[in-house]
Order: sequence, then C-alpha cells, then structure tokens
Amino acid sequence: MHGRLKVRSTEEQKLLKQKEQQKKLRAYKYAMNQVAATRKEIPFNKDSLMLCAQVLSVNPDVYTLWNYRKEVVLQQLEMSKDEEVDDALVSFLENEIKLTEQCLLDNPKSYSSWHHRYWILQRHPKPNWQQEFSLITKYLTFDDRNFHCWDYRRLIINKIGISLCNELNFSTERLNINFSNYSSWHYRSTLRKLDSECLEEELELVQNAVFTDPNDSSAWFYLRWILSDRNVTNEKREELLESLTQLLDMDPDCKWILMAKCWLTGSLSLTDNHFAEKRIMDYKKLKELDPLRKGQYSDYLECAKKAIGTEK
Amino acid sequence: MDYELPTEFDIIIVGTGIVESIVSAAASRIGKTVLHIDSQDYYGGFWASFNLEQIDKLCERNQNANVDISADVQLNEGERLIQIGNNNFDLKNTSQKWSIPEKLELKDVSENVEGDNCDVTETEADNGTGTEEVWTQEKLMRESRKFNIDIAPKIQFARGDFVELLISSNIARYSEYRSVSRVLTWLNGELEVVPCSRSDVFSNPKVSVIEKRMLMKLLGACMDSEENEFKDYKIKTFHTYLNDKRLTDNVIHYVLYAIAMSTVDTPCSEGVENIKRFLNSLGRFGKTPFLYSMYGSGELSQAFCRLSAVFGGVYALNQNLGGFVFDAENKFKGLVCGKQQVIKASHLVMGIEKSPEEFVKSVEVSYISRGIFITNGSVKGSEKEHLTLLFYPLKGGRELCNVIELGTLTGTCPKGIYIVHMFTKQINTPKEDLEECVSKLFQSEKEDSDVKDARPQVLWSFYYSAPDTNTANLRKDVPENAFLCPGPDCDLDIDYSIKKAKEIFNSMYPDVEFLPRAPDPEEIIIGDGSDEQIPKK
Amino acid sequence: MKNYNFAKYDGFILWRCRVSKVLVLRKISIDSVENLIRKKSVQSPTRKVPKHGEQNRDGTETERSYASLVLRFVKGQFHEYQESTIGAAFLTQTVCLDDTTVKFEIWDTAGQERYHSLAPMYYRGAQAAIVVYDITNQDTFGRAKTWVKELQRQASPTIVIALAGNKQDLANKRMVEFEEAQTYADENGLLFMETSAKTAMNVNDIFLAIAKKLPKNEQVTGPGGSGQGRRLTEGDAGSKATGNCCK
Repeated sequence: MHGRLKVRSTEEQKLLKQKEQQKKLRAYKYAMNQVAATRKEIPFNKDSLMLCAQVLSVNPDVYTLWNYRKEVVLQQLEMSKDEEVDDALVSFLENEIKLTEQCLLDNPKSYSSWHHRYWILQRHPKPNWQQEFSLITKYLTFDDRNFHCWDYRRLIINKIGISLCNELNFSTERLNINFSNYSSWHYRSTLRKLDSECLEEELELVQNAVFTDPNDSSAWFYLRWILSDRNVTNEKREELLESLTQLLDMDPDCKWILMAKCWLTGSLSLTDNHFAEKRIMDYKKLKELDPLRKGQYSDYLECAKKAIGTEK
Repeated sequence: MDYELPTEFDIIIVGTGIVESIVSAAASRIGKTVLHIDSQDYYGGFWASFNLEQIDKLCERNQNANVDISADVQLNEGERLIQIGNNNFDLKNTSQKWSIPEKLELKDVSENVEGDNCDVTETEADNGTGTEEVWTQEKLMRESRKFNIDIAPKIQFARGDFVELLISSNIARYSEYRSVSRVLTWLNGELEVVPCSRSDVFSNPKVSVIEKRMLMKLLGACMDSEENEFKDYKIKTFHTYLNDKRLTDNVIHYVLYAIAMSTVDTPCSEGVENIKRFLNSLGRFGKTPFLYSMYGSGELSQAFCRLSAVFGGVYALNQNLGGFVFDAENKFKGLVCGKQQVIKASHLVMGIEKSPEEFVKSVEVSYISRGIFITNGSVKGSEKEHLTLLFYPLKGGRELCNVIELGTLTGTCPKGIYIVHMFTKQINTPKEDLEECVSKLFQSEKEDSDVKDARPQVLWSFYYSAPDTNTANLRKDVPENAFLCPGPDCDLDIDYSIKKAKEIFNSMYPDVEFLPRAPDPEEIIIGDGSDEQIPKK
Repeated sequence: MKNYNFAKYDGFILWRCRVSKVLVLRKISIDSVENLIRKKSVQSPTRKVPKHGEQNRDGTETERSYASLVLRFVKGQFHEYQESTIGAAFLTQTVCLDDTTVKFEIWDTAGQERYHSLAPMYYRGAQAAIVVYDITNQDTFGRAKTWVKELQRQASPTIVIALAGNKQDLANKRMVEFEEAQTYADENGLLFMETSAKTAMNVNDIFLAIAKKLPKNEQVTGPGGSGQGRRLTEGDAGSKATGNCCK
C-alpha cells in the first residue's frame, strides 16, 4: 500500500542517528588531515579552506581551524597591500564574516567565532561597524544573558561612538525586561562616571530592583559598586540605610539586606561610632542567617570591633 | 449536489463549535470514522468569527438555516424522525448601531484626495502625521474581509488546559497565537497597567518601592499557599484577607481585581487559586499569562477540525439536514442528509443549538451580556500596538467586566482600527450591564465640541445576550448514545469546554487515550512503506 | 454501486472521483541577521498560504499529480504511485531568495476537497495560494477557475494566487492550451506556470515566484513586531527574561 502513514520506530531513529554520527566523524577526520597537510601552502589550498569552513559550521570550537583561516587571511592581506581598494579582498573578508555568522547561529557562545569576527573586521578596509551594532542590538534583545554579546557591543561602541543617552536607555530597557542579569548591570557600570546628578537615578533604579526581589544578587552587586563611589555623600548613605531598614522589616531573613547595611555602616562609622555598633549587630545576625560563611562574617566582626576599639 | 456522503460512520457530529470539534479530533485520532457536519457554511457555530459584512447580517440570520423536516425517507418500524435544531439558545436582545456616516458628504470628498478605488495602504501612510483618519461605513465595509469578529471571544492561559492539550496533542501546529501584551485595570478613575510579572513590578513607576515589596511578598505567599497563611480565611473573602495584610489600596486593587480576577465577594480560597493560575501561566509565552488566537477565536475549533480531517474525519458544511432518526428504544440510528440519504452511526454528538427541542426543553439557560465595538483608537494609546486585557470592576467591585481590545496585529481588523469585546454576566440588558464601562472607555455619543476628548470613538457597536449553559445538566432527556455539547460560557478561557469534550469522548470510548500526540512530518515515511524501512543514504 | 468510492489508508481517506485539491502553504520568511538570532531564541514567524488544487473525473490521477507536486517540491522526489495525500499535517521546505530565506509550510486537506468544507478554514490570514489543474483534462481547468473565483471572493484581498498547469510531461495529451491558461491568468492577475511533478519542471520556480511576489517581511507598526503570530511549543520558554513572579 502506498502513501501509508508510517511512523519511524525509535529503534529506526536511533540507527539513523548512529549512522549520521559516524558519517560526521569520518568527515571531520578527513578534513582535519587535509588542512594539516596543506596548511603551509602558498597560495592557500582552496579545497582545504572550504573543508575547514564546513567543519567549523558544525563545530565552531576547533580553534586550530580558525588559526588556519587567519593565516590565509593574512596571506591575502599581504598580497593586496599595494592596491587601494581590492574588491576580491573585500569579498574574501565578507565571506569570513558570513562564516562566523553561520557558526554563531549554531553556537552563539562560541569564543572563537566572536573573536574571529572582530579580528576580521579590524583588518577589513571598509568595516561596517554600524551594521555590527544593529546586529548586536538585535541579538541582545533575544538573549540578554549572552555576555559575549555585551563584550562585543563594548568593542563596537568604541569604534563608532554613540550617544551615552542612547546606551543608557538601551541598558535600562534590558533591565526592565529582566533585572536578574549581571551582564546588563555591569554594562551599565561601564557607561559613565557617576556624578551627584546621576547618582540619584542609579540609586532609585537599584532600589526598585532590591525591593522587588531582595534575594536576587545581581542588583546588590551594582549597589555595592555605586557605594564604592566617593560622590555618595553621607546623607545619601543614611537615607539609603533608612530605606534598607524598612526593607529588612519586611524580609528579616534576607542576608543581602544585612550585608548592604554593613557596607553602608562601614563607611558611615568612620565618622560616627553609633553606626559601628549597628554594624556589629548586623554581622552577628549574618552569622546566624548564613552559617556557610560564618568565618567570613566573624572576620568582619573582629575588624569592626577593632575599629571601635582604636577609636576609643 | 454532485456527490453523496458514505452511509455509515462510527460517529456523527453535528455542529462545529469547539466542544464538537475537540470530540471530532479525538475520535478520528483513535481511528473512529467520523462525519462532522454542519448546516452552516462556516466553522464554529456560536464560536465563530465573522467579517464585518457577515456580522452585520448576523441578526437576520436564522441559526438553523438549511434544516427542514420535509425529508422523504423510508423509516423502519418503530423509527421516528425528529427535527434538528431548536431556538432555545439564540442570541437575544441584539442591537447594532453605526455611529459614523454612511459616506462622506460631498464637500468632504473634494477635500479628501482619495478616490473610490484608492489603495488602502497608501492612505494609511499618513497615519503618523497626526491627521485623524475619517471613517465611514462605506470605507469600513470595503475592508470587511480584514475583520474577524468573534461572537465568543476567548483568551487562553499560557499554562491552561487548552494550551497544554494543544501542545501534547501536537495540534499547536495548526494555529498561531499572540500574547496579550498588557493587562489593565480601572484605578482611581484611570486606566492603569497592572504589574503582572516580576519585571513589571520592577519597572512600574507608579508602584512605590515599598509597594513593590508588598506585592511580591503577597504573590509569593499565595503561590506557596502554606496552610497557616490562610487557615483563618476558610469562610472569609479574599478581599478580607488582603485588607488584613495591611497593604496599600493600590496593591489591593491590583491583586484583587486584576491578578486574582476577583470581586469583593470572591471567597479567599478561590482568589488564591486564581492567583496561582495567573502566576503559573507567566513567563511561558510573552509578557503576560494570556494568549489570543490570531485571526479570531473562531480559529480554535478549526485547529481541531484540521486534525480530525488529517486522521480521516469527513467534513461537510452547508448541508441540508433533514432530521435525526431514532428507533423505538429512543436510540439514535442515523442522520437524514439532503432529502433522502440516511447516514447511520452508533453515536451522535451535537452542538446544543442543533439538538431537537425535546432533548433541551428543561435545560436552564443563563445569559452573558456581550458588546462588540469597533473604534478608531486604543483605550489607552501608546507607541506600539497593544493587545489588551482589562478587568473592569463594575458596581463597586461586585462584578467584573472582561474587556479585550484587539488591534490589527491580531489579524482581526484593518490598520488604524481596534475591536473591543466586553462581556459580563447578564443582570439587566447588555446595554445597561455594560454602560458603566462603555462610558468610561469611549467618547460619549453627544459631541461636546469645546473639550477635546482623547478617548477613542465608537464607530460601530453590537450588543447581544449570549446563552450560557455551563451549569445545566446536558444528560437529562438525552438518549444514551447522543451527546450535547455546551456553547461558549462566560469564562475567559475554554478549559471548561475541554473538560466537557473529554467527558463526552470518555463516555463513548472509555479507557482510550484522549488525543495522543500526532506524529510530526519528519516521523512519517513518505512513499512505499513496505520495502523502504529506512531511506537509503 | 454508489457514485463514490473511497479507500482508507490508516485514517486517511482518499476519494477516487471528482476530487479538487486544497493545500495550504505557510510562508516563514526571515532575513539572515534575524535568522542568526531567532534560531536559538524564538519560534520563527509564519505566514499562511493556501494552495488550491485541481479536480478530475479520474480522482486517482489527480490525487497522484497533486500530492506528487508537493512531494517533488519538498523532498525532491517523485513517487509514481503517490496516491493519497501526504498524511502529515504539513511538510516544510525552504527556498532561498536573494539574501532572504523563505520557508514554506505545505498543508494538505486529507483528500476531501469535494465538499468544499475544508477550504474555509484556510482563508483567514492566507497570503498566497496555488491553484493546480491537470493540462490533460479540461474539466480540471474549469474547476480551477472556480477556485480562483472563490479565493478572490473569500480570501484576503491581497492574496497572491498562482495557477499551475500540472503534468506538463504529458503535453502530448494536452487538453488545455498554454495560451488559453496564460490569457486567463493575465486577465485575473495570477502567476502562471506549467509544471511537472514527474520531471520537476518549474516546481521550485513556482514557489520561488510566489516568494518573490509576497511582500517582504514588513515590520508592521514598528516595535510591535511582525504581523505573524506565535507558535506554541513545549520548548518555547518565551522570553525567559520575563521570569515568574515568585520563582
């Protein structure tokens, strides 16, 4: 009977898969040998380069192959040194960029592919950084936890220079979608030097995050970074301390709130001993709350006590 | 008719509503022969979506067209012929109104450059320049086919029974969805966005930091629902519980009327269950827990029909149905199709409106007040188009009015136009029941030229009472091998319908799997299955 | 004998008389940049494209030629005896158009087009249709015209309709002249090609021509995203960013 609906059994599917794998393995071995044998040839061996691309698009993590490609690219660059604009060279380089795109499609977290892409663009006579920028913006809207993208974005921005305001907005947008994201917070921290004006904004943003979810560590790290800035006045610190005390009332078992309070009282106690005592109490509570880091808190506690001692 | 249907099936299904269609898919899927037939020429019955022209004529339409008893068939002894269809479940209190002129007046035409056969997309291009588009009946009618107007709009929970069934049965392939992009509520005389998710809570500037924490804590408590937390509220309302929590009024409002979809009278346990359902459906598809099917809710039943057809279900719309044949023991024997043909089957499943009068005479009906509005803008304008769900607390928070606003991205209306559906349990007439909500959301009919009203204008409205048989006993008075399928209810989703369909399926075929996963194309071997077990190469 | 005759293959009914075929294509169109992103992140957007078929006195033949046209396109294979419709919900195939990838989902209607009852469910949101007739059978051409009329009346006003005269390999038994069909197509604004599922002639081309004629992946109203809906799958966790309120 023809046209019958037939579903493959799992057995058959397994067999197919095995065959598929063996085929891949053979192809991989063959390509690796081929590349190794012809690596030093000048001009480069076209077949090898093609095979190399095929393997990479399946497994972009073979850095030997990327190195081989770089050698070939250098060869090409060397050859076209004298001419002004070499169309053949440009299309050769564009091809490399396309290859990395293909590889990233398969594995968006491939170090080698990202590196190769940037490496090529740097040597490109007419690099289209703007296009790279929109690409990376798009990519980040789909996966904002891919730190490769954030890194790449920083590299691109250095090349094209775009307005701080736009970048801040972009970062806020990403945080609004998901603030449990070290990368977004960190990226934000690289954008500008804090001054008294923007401090207010940043403190508000970070408070929104820690009040929404005090158990999420990423915003606390950002807060810690803000607090390391000398522009944060003692008044600000006291204000924040007050607000965190309120938060602690609502969530008395959250170690992050206590820790943040200690960061604040740490700097405040330099001028006012009253805060030092609070600090000691908070460390004691932390020891109970977070017994896994008992030793660390004891250490801090000792330091805090000592500080009071010397003052007296 | 240039064809005749086969004369025998395992099961005949009359009506293409959602329950009927699910039963049809489930029966075909396990290899039963199914005839799925409808007197109407469209899918969905009371669940259908219509274009503007069709819905315009809906009031005139007789639900049971093509049904007549004048069939000329030979009956065996003891058999009797019963007329198909009844009028117990018709839409009532229908009132339809255009609020825009039929055509532009002459002087307007000369000002307006567009001609009769203008390219629609071209006129839309200047949408952004701020000039408001002038709509006429004629102009909307020209775009009639871009409308898919639900008479029973439905929203699905991303982790509700419907979505789970769609995925587990692999029927999800047959339809596309859009996530509801914002949930609104009516708070302090304004429409406000409800912070649904953790990120919404974080980014909502109208919620103070302390409120952020309250909201998150409360939702957490409902989610964990430890016994101690609610032990004192077994007979109290959810509203009481919230009040006792010493929350701010805003937080209580968001939680009670929006996230818990409750009223001041909702029992505590129900409110908590609703919150769990809401939160469980978050973070699966899109920013809110809700999904709407592209091209209208009428697509829902079609997805199931599609699977039924692929597994052999025979589909025939627009059929002349001459009557049902029942034998002396009141057992269903067959369906008379056309004038003469009797199609036999051992089971009959039918939409409640297709049922003979005698089976439904004692079915109790309550009504849903529904209103559909075509407007020229969103109830809460914004940069991008939203798919909006609004729970509007009516009458001091005693009833909720469900409001769904659909834009062109849902494939249910042309660009520049929104469709707003409203529904609530009927108390008076639809118009009276919805009046409060309508007056808040739209421009008033009386034009007040002094004050510019930023609210959208209603271009067309349609009010009606739709029957709800959710609480009725549909087995009473019904012969053993015949089953009635309820129509749309007042719920937001269709999970109740799935439950009903499953019940009907299980009474016919106990101990058989209900809609097992259908194979993917990749799993199917095309061609000669016998000698080509595994394709070469 | 009644005037119908059908065979059932594992749940797929095949009518052997007076069949006219309806198939749906859904187009998935993605540019290369998005491709890179979407593959890992979200479901591809889709478009609906219904495809219409021919009918024939001799149903078997028609079924064969029709299903086989699709099979040829999808699998690059031709089965002489491909009788029933394919049975799967739909098959998918990708064609490359400049730097755009267009993916078609091809749906069939399980072989019961004669009731005209499966077609209505394809009209909504449909963007293109192929109406197929058999060049060796004048009747099928007549029926194809009816389909075109129905499409123009029922489907979206912007639908792209293509007319395909199939079985071009049997041109020596031709009953419908090329010119006749071409004129009809021109008058009605249809794409037209004669195809052969057997020799693969024009099979890919007709889909390519449709892909070209369809509007490019327009970004409808900016940030709201494309005009396409979301497919629900188990694997699609949505934007994980959204996160659950209470983890």
